[in-house]
Order: sequence, then structure tokens, then C-alpha cells
Amino acid sequence: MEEQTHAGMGKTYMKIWGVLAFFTAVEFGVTYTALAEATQVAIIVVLSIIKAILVVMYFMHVKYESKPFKYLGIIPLFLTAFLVLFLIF
Amino acid sequence: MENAHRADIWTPLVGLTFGLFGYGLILLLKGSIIGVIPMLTFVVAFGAWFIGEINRPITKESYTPSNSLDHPRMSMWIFLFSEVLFFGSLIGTSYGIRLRSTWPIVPEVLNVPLTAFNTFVLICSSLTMALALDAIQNGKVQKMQKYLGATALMGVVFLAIKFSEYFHLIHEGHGPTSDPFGMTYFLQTGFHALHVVVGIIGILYLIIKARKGHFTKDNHDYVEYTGLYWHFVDVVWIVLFPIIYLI
Repeated sequence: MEEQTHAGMGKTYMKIWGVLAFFTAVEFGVTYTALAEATQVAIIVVLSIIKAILVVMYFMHVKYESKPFKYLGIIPLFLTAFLVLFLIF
Repeated sequence: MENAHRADIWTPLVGLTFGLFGYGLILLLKGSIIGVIPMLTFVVAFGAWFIGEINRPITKESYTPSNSLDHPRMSMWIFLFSEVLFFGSLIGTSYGIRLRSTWPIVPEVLNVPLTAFNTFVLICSSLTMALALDAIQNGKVQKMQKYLGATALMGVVFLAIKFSEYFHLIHEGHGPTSDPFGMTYFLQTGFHALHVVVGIIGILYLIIKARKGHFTKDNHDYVEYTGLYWHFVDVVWIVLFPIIYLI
């Protein structure tokens, strides 16, 4: 059943690619605007997180995985967030 | 019945000699030519393993339904989680150093428009990789090979642009040992570039195996695993690009 949603996803992939390309252009373009630096950084960070989530969800098919599989990723992500925060500060 | 996941002598040797490879690389970077010898042991072991793998047909036993918590796919995800921690530590350390040292004005030393284009190249390669998997899931081997070829090609373009930037940076005095900026830049992008190289080797492996007719509509797990890895490398760049170039 799931296999059927897998195959024939060409159009979905194209749409995701379009969003990714557009967000990259916006991230790049925003550094040339007169917006305050904090605003620029906020926009760039939010767009990057959305891009990463889109790739993981659609290209890496996590959206179509079973529930336990999805929740499995929370632990290492939590660990990574801690690790990065402690290394930075 | 032949065990599909049996290990031959070269598999552990690849792992062991990879350590030697790193050791040899350090010797070489310190100016000692003798470092080439331990590096060559890895090249030999990897080559032997690669050839053996290419000629080994994927048996039906190695095929598992792609939507269960099966072993190889689970292993791939666990490996990718370890990679998340690895890159997380690199990024965290680098940003920590950045907050505590003088930093050049990034757009003056790095070519941001060119790298934005490079990011676009990598995003395109992720699309072709996804389309390659889609093609083989519909049983189109020829189409998959074309998409895989395009993916590998874009990986090479990415690396070429990356290396041109490396030469430019070293020339400008921001080499890997010059200043904190150069160190962290080369640490992060260097490890990412290394992952791209590994990904390209993986894709070439898939192309050769596809030409030998080893992949079918029902037997294409390797394409999926390599795809997962390639998309992961893309995700890492999606995170690295704004951190290094834009913020």
C-alpha cells in the first residue's frame, strides 16, 4: 500500500525542489536588503530549517514512514541540539 | 543458501585501513612523503572490496520490503543520526570559536553568489536522486541510470566550485592553518566535501551495478540507501551554507 504512494512521486519532488530553490534565492537575496541584521538572520534561520525539514520529509520519505520510525529521530536531534548549544556557549 | 549480508575479508580491512589512511594523510600534510604508504593500503583494500561488491549479485534474500523497520535501512538511519551528531559537533565548535575570535567580513573573503549557485546545484542533485529512485520503483532502469549520472555530475560540479574557492581562500591568506576563520571554514566544508566524494563513489557504484542489470523494480534497496545518504549530505549543506556564508 505504502509502496504505491512511493512510486509516481515525480510531481511532488518537482514541487519540493521548486520551494527549496525559491527559499535559497530568498535567503541569498535577504542579505542585500536594508533589513536589520537580526531580522535577516531570523529569516535565514527559519527558511533553512524549513528547507532541511522538507528534504528529510519528502526526499528521504520520512513523511511516509511508520510512526515509531518518525519518533526515533527525536532522541538524536535532542542530543545534537544540546551538544551544539554547549559547544557554542 | 548464500547469506546476502555475508562479510568477506575486505570489508573489515577497509575499516582498518581507513584509520591508516587518516594517519597517512596527517603525515603527508606534515610534509612527510612516507604517509603515502598507509594511504595506499586503504586504496588497495577499498578497490578490492569495491570490485567484489560490484560483481556480487544482489540476491532475493537481501531484498526486504521497503516500508518495514528492516535491518539495512534502520542501520542507514542510525548511521545518519551519528553523522548528525558529528556535523553538530563541528558546527557547534566552529560557532563557539567564531564568537570568541576576530572574524573577517564574510562577503569580502567568500564568494557568496557563487556558493548560492552551488547550493542550488546540490538541491538539483537531490531532486535527480529522488527521481532516480522514483524511476526504478516504476521499473525504469535506463531512466534511473540517467538520473544517477546527472546526480553524480552535479556532485562533481559542486566539488569543482568548492575547490576553486579553496584555492582562492588559501591564496588570500585564509588557509586551514592561518586563522580561526580559515580553520573552521576548512573543517566544516572539508568534511562536507569528503561526504560528497563518498556519495559520488556510491552513485558510481549504483550506475555500474545498474548496467550489470542488478537492479529491478522489486530489488532496488541500495538505490534507496544511497539516496538517503545523498539527501543527508544535501541537508548538511542546507544548514552549513547560511551558517558559514550568510549569517
